[in-house]
Amino acid sequence: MVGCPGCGGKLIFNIESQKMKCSYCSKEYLVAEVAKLAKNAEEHTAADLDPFEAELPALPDEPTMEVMMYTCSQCGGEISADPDVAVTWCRYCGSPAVLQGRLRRIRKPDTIIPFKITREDCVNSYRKIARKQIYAPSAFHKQGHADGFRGFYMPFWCYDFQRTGVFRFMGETVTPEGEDNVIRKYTLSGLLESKFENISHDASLSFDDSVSEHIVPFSSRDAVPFEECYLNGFYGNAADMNEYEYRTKMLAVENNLIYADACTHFFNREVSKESVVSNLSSAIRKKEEPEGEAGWMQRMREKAEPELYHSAEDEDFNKQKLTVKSRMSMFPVWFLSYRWGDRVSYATINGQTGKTYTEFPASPYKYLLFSIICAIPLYFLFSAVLVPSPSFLVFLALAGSFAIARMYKREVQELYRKQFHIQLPPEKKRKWKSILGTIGAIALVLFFVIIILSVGVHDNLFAGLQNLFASIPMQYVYFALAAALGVQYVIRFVKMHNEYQALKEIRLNLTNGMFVATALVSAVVFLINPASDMVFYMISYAILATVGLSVISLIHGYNLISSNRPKQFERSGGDYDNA
Amino acid sequence: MTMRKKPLFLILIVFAAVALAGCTFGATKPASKGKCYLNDGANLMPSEDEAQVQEAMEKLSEYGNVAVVTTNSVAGTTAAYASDKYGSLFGTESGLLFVIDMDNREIWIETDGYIGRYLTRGKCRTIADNVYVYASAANYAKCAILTLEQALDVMEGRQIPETMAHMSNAVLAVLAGLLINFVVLRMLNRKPEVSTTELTTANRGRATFRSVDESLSSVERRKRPAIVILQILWAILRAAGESGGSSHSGGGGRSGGGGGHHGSHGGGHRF
Repeated sequence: MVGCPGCGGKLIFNIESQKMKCSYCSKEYLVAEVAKLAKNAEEHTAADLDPFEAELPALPDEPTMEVMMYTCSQCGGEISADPDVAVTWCRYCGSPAVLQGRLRRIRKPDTIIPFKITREDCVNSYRKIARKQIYAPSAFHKQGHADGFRGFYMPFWCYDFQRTGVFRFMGETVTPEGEDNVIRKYTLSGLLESKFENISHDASLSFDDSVSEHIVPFSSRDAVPFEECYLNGFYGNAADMNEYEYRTKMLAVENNLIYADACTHFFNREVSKESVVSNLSSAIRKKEEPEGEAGWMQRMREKAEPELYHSAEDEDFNKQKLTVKSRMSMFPVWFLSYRWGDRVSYATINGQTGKTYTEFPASPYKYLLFSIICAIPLYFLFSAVLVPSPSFLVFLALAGSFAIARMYKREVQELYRKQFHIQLPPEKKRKWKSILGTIGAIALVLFFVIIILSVGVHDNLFAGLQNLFASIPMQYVYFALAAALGVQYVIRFVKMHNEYQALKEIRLNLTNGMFVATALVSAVVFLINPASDMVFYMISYAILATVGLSVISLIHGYNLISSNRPKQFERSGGDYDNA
Repeated sequence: MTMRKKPLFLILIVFAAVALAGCTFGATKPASKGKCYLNDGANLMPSEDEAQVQEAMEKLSEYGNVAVVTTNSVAGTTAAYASDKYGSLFGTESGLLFVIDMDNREIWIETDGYIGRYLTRGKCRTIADNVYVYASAANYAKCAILTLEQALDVMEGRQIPETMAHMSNAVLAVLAGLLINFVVLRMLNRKPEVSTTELTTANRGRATFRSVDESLSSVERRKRPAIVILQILWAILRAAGESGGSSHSGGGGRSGGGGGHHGSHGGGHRF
């Protein structure tokens, strides 16, 4: 690392001026000047490289660089920093510890996007968001919490995709004619030429994909050739995933971009996404990279020319040529981790655009407090408007527990995807195409509105509607609803138990079991329809209790989604490993 | 007042207005007293109890007509019976009818006119909730007397016990509070997704389509969903109208009595 040409002091990259600034004499120098000095001072050559020393082996002809890598003794996480910095904090597990460092040689990135967002902007942006987080624990609002942000350069793989060839998509138009919709389907074909550059994905296993996916994209317009001096004053990560890992995923992104352009071009034809993806996928020849040394040798051979894919020729001469190039780049990220108990919450800000991703857990006490505060004016409102008979009360309580059950299921799905890093299936357009679905949705809404207006609302407001429904024996309606919910809860209970049993951190069976029990008991009580009101009130209090317990589960699940278990990295290469 | 406090202030005003709307004040007595009608068709009350019931009816009759009817046989629901009976007794005049239906084992309070403005459906239901236990204990006279006394309390602006109504509303308020806060929590923590526009703006690239050929491959006709829904709803309403009409014609007397139309306006409870 080269010092200040004037005083020998440490040079740090200054975000405001985008130049190297001496931390002692405050003189500034162009990055290119400092890089040239550093190159002249360099002693190590590429010929000394052991290709398997680093996390991601560099090929013999690839440039490399030396970094000081610090390893956390708690979780094994690694970060790179200036050699004269004592790293006293681990960003992965939040442990405050002096990390042990040693020199490592890693593949040198091809480009870098220098920091554009200053630390002050980053802190202000975070504080603005934190102010709205009324449910977050007090520690997140403490003065000084936001000052924990650190600047990191994260390795990303950037892919360039180029296609030429014949395309064949399907499109349709829907035109109303009288009582019918006329659906006309078209085949759209022609010549496709596309070029998309710098579609990126993080190359670090330690940088959670669920976090990095929310702060992209980084604009390639600010990318410059990589120089080591840009890293001065910031932390870094080494790449530990090769470019093939994300190629399929990035191809899906490229497909989406082509689909978006197709929708714009064929704006009067609703282009089918499935046909676009299917047609573009036909251009891909599946390649499997062998593991270990054989894979490294194959990469060496393919380094001579970019990846070239061909589709199989068929009778329709439907062939495209797809060319893929990849390179490594360092992208700027502001990073804050907060450890609470055995979990860590992260706040990540895109150091170029300022896009923010934050995780704020919820304090159960604050949540209950705000719920009670909210309940007070609602109580007065309901007293003025609602006339709840005991059976109507149970009906409404069941409806509330149904809403909670739906939220619970969604949360379990989200937690499962996060914990097991499962990708969501390709986005399907949420269109109520089936008539049954449309009727069902509208009927359900109308049903609830009519029930509430005809049975539960103060007199004289909807007297006509109430007269219309006065002769309907409501307990049979309630019974039908409770029985339907009970059956649905049972099906959901069995499905969720089978699908998500790997989730050990939440009591899946308990919550779902409570919903099943309350729905079925309610159905029986509606059927028997006892004269005594106390039976209905007891049931409604029981439902309220189950809802309360379920909400606690919901908050617990939400906190699991909004935090992470500190990763335990299996690292070798400690001081005594090479003894 | 700061900008932040204004919406909160307005919300509080709205809540207060709605809450006040639910308050009642005492009624003024009309110029003429109403009629009293007692028919213990099911022989539930001894004669000494009937006298007490009559006395309670006299007090309430200062506000309108009052009737107490017990019956062993009802064709249809108690609510429908009470509505028809009220129509035959008082037409559209102001009044209160209390029915003890031993066939359906249900009590019902039917009101209309001036009394109906104060003894709303909600109040009728509340009174029925308060007194049904006496009917369950076969103390029918007390059930009737208490009904008339609580009705008089409402007409004179006094509070009647509504403990269970308050507790029910409290349960619903807490439920709603829990639900609303969870929705707010999720809304405050929505994660930014990457849109296609962001991706195309951030990265250089585009796709071009040349020498495009469009060929029509199929044509299909489907009924429009909105039309289908309207047709189904229309069929349901027609069916409901037809079945309502037949039960009215089976009931007979009310429309033939020529007293005009009295809609169901009351509340009851099984015992």
